[in-house]
Amino acid sequence: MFIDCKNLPDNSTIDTDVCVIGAGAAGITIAREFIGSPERVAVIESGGFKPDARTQALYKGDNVGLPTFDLEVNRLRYFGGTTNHWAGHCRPLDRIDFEVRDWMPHSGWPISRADLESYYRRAQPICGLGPYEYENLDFWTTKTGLPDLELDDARLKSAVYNQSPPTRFGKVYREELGKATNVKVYLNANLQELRTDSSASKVTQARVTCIDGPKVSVSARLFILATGGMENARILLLSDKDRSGGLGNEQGLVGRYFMDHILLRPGEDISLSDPKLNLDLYHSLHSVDGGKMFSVLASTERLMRKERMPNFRIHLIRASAQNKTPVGKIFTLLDELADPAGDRPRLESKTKRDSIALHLVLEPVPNPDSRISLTDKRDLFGQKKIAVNWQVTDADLAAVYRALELAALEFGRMGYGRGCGVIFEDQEHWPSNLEAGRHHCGTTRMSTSPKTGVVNRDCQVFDVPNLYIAGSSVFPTIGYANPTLTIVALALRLADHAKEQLR
Amino acid sequence: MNGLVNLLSRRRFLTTLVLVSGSVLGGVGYQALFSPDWRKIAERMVTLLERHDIARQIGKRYVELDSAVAHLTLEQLTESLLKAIKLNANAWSDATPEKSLVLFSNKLREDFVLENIVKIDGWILSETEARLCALLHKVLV
Ligand SMILES: Cc1cc2nc3c(=O)[nH]c(=O)nc-3n(C[C@H](O)[C@H](O)[C@H](O)COP(=O)(O)OP(=O)(O)OC[C@H]3O[C@@H](n4cnc5c(N)ncnc54)[C@H](O)[C@@H]3O)c2cc1C
Repeated sequence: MFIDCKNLPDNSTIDTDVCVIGAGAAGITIAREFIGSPERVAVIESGGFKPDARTQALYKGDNVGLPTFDLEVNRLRYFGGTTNHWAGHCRPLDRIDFEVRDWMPHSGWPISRADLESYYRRAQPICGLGPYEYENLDFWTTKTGLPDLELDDARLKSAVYNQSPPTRFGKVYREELGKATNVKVYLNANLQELRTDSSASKVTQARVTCIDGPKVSVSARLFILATGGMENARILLLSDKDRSGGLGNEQGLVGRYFMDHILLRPGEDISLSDPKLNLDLYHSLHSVDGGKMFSVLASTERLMRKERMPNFRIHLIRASAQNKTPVGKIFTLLDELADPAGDRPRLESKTKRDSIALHLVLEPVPNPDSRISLTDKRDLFGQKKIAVNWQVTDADLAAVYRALELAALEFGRMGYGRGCGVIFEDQEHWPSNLEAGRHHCGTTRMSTSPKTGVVNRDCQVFDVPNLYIAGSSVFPTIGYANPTLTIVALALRLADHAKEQLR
Repeated sequence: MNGLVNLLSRRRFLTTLVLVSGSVLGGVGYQALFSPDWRKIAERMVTLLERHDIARQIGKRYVELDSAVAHLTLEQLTESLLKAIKLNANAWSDATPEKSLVLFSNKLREDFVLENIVKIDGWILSETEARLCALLHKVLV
């Protein structure tokens, strides 16, 4: 059921069992899990069904780090959240992403890929995806009849990506939520802060305000914050009336470790020595058994362990090269004889190309100095805005360099072309096209201990037993995979856990 | 521009040349009596490259960027390339164009595996192929 919060009486109280704040991928997934259950659920959503300039402006903040952030445009503040314009690229995190990697500071989740596996499978259709066959490239090459590259497993592999339609959570699940009787979605309802009992050990109330409308409060047994990777931290920091510094912030960790994928588009061009090389598996979307897929190059576990690298992926893009000199063509004759696998699956592509562009997506090293904090600037409601200080480090730059170098080595080894990138001319500086992936993570990180994280393995804020966080802010590390499939998997797990707690 | 057709006909020509010179001299063994004609070897070697216009540019830049390569004479550079594919001048003369192509192709692959690479104006090239380009530059100056 949808309720416009503007129509509620001023100072009224919504009494419910579960209060979910935010109706994006995470919030909607959790709310749907409760449809038909005995619990009453109130979803508090800032926006309506359409974008609204004044509501969207509540996301405004300052960028005080690398100049690639547009906080307002990246995030969408209405029903469905940022999935109203996400691209729909999906993949689970790799097993190694969850591990403590001794070469990566602050790495290690308190849960494993195995703990999430069944939830990933459940998340797959929710995101509008086809067969759950991420670790089985043969499945896709057989179905599509397309060759994959014969990469050296000590360096790179071909990894499977799935493509969501992309599912606009607000549109696809609107009707279902509208019909639900035990789930009420309050629109135009802006959470201001969370209040606790006198001992500050339990959230008792969510204070909510409408633009040009009433102020209401929500009392619930359990609160789940699902307002996105930045706003989750902001809300905890703003909720500082009962605990100084904000909820869950005893160690000053809320807002720290802000991460996003490091993007270089392009990171490198490959001048092809074989213009008819068939890269269709990587270039195009392929429909298979009701789903869509494409492939990317990705680092192998062997590489990461041996070279102490972070995880990364590389998209092979049909795009004209920045450096148009067809250097690959010099070696056409010499490359024709390269056949590292001894049995080259040379299906010829219909289209000829001189070059392709490689887009790199790299996992950053978690960094406490990369952070979100409150400023003295205020939003429409007088609430403090955020400043985002996205930082990348020399370790990240070294990994970018090596990842792109490895791609060039592999294309040369396979005899398909030669790599060229500005980074190979200047290893010391970030290329000017450095971007962030628009995946806001890490600001309420999951950990085994309140000394090193904000939430525990169940996504519960340490020391606040009835407050949970959903979304990518809980990711302690982020691999190379886009976050939403993992967000949805974690949301399903959290919903199961919440039901257990309530019953 | 060196198209494949041109190159193949050049390769056929070279094969013929090897056969003819062999028969004229009464067998390859006689070649050892002579000191190698490094320019000739170099000229044949660079036919393994295509797009000589670009290859020459790359070779020129390599020579500009790497003084060690710059200081090599044509003879020394050619010899170093023969060494890279583990042939001496005689064996090179005996080798068919196809064989020399295979040997260099394998060497390029090995370079990329062992990371014997050079960076030239943002390009990552195998050291051997970069040297072939440098040789082309030296042949043509
Ligand atoms: C351009 C772009 C492309 C992307 N492409 C991909 C992709 O290909 N693959 C992928 O996996 N991910 C992608 N993402 C990321 C993806 O959109 C997010 O991971 C996902 O939407 C996060 O879900 P969420 O529910 O945590 O947050 P959101 O979807 O942002 O939802 C948060 C919700 O909380 C509400 N809210 C915020 N503050 C308050 C408040 N104070 N009170 C009440 N409600 C509030 C908002 O209105 C919003 O509805 C992309 C992102 C962008 C910007």
